[in-house]
Amino acid sequence: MFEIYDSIANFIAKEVFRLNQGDKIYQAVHFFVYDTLKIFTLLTLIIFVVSLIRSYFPIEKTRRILSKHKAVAIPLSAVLGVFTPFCSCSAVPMFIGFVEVGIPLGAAFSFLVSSPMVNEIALGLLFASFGFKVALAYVVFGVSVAIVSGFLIEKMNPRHLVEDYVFELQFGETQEKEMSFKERIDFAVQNVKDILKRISIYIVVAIGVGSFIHGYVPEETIRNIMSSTGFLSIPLAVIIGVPLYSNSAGVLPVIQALIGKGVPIGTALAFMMATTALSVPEFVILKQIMKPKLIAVFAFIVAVSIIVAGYLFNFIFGRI
Amino acid sequence: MKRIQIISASNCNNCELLYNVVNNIVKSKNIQAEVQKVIDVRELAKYKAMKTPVLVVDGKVKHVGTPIPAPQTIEKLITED
Repeated sequence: MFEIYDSIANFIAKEVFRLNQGDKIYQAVHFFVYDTLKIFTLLTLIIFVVSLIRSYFPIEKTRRILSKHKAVAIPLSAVLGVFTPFCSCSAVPMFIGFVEVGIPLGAAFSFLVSSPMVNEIALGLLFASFGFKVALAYVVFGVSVAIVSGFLIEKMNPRHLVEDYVFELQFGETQEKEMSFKERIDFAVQNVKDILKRISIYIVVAIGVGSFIHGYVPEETIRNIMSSTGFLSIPLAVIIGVPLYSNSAGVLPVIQALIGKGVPIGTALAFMMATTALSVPEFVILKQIMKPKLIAVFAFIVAVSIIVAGYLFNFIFGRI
Repeated sequence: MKRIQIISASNCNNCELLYNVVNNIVKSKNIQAEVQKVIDVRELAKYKAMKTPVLVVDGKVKHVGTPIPAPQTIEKLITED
């Protein structure tokens, strides 16, 4: 499918830069050109498709569906979170709107995990770097983490840790704007533009670093680092991931290069989940509606679930 | 004089972006308007909006949520009656 990109990359390395095929710099240039073309093509495609699907599941519709199926609200909300667009700035009205119609708190939290985690950027990058199977595994593991986190939080009955006004505010019947198919396409195109504008620079830099690793860092070095951090690499990946906001999901091309040198995929997935589901700006936003203690518990539960998911993934797919 | 409000629940990038775009349009097109940023979830509830940011012109909701429309569209939204 990408032979043409391979030819372009070879052409640029050989004819434009006049490099020798056996040299390290050739490998690095080839990797950079090939990966940039491939990642941006796939990213554009996936963001477009996911945005188009997501245009059919506005938050108002998701809220209506959940309010009618309260008994299974937690798993259902984790699944619908995948299809519902999410922006962390809307976390507060979303949370209040859910509570207002009697959706369990645990379900509101599982939505808060799955919706930002299984997003178009993460899926696009995973698909571009590791293929369909890994992207699908990410969805399955992401939804599982959201369900487990939702149940655990529901179990501790955190109502007293949520600000009182959350239970008083009323949005009432919110309107769902019916979109024409053309409007949906416009929505998806606008989303592709917005996202690419925001993250392109990070991705190009990350591909650059990845190319360097690919061309210059010997596999043995990476293997030594991995075996010295060994079992702790997943918790480490999660801890490093938290302060990085989802924009920095662009670091994936770096990880892709590392994986080529022997870092397990579960570790990479755990890292991706941590950057998307746990973010400091979102915690600051959530402080408006809940006590810091609940945010800490939420972060802890999600982080532990992600770590477990990472181990599980490595266990199922081999290498730890 | 028009009254334009950009309403959100928290000070996020998209709200800031919309606020800046609206301000630029108002200035460059010499539109007589007062542009105001409102960060209060109670205001969102008043307009029955669960997504942010919300663009309100003279009490009427013109746009809800992300992605933010293109500047030309926003200009139309704030100048139409």
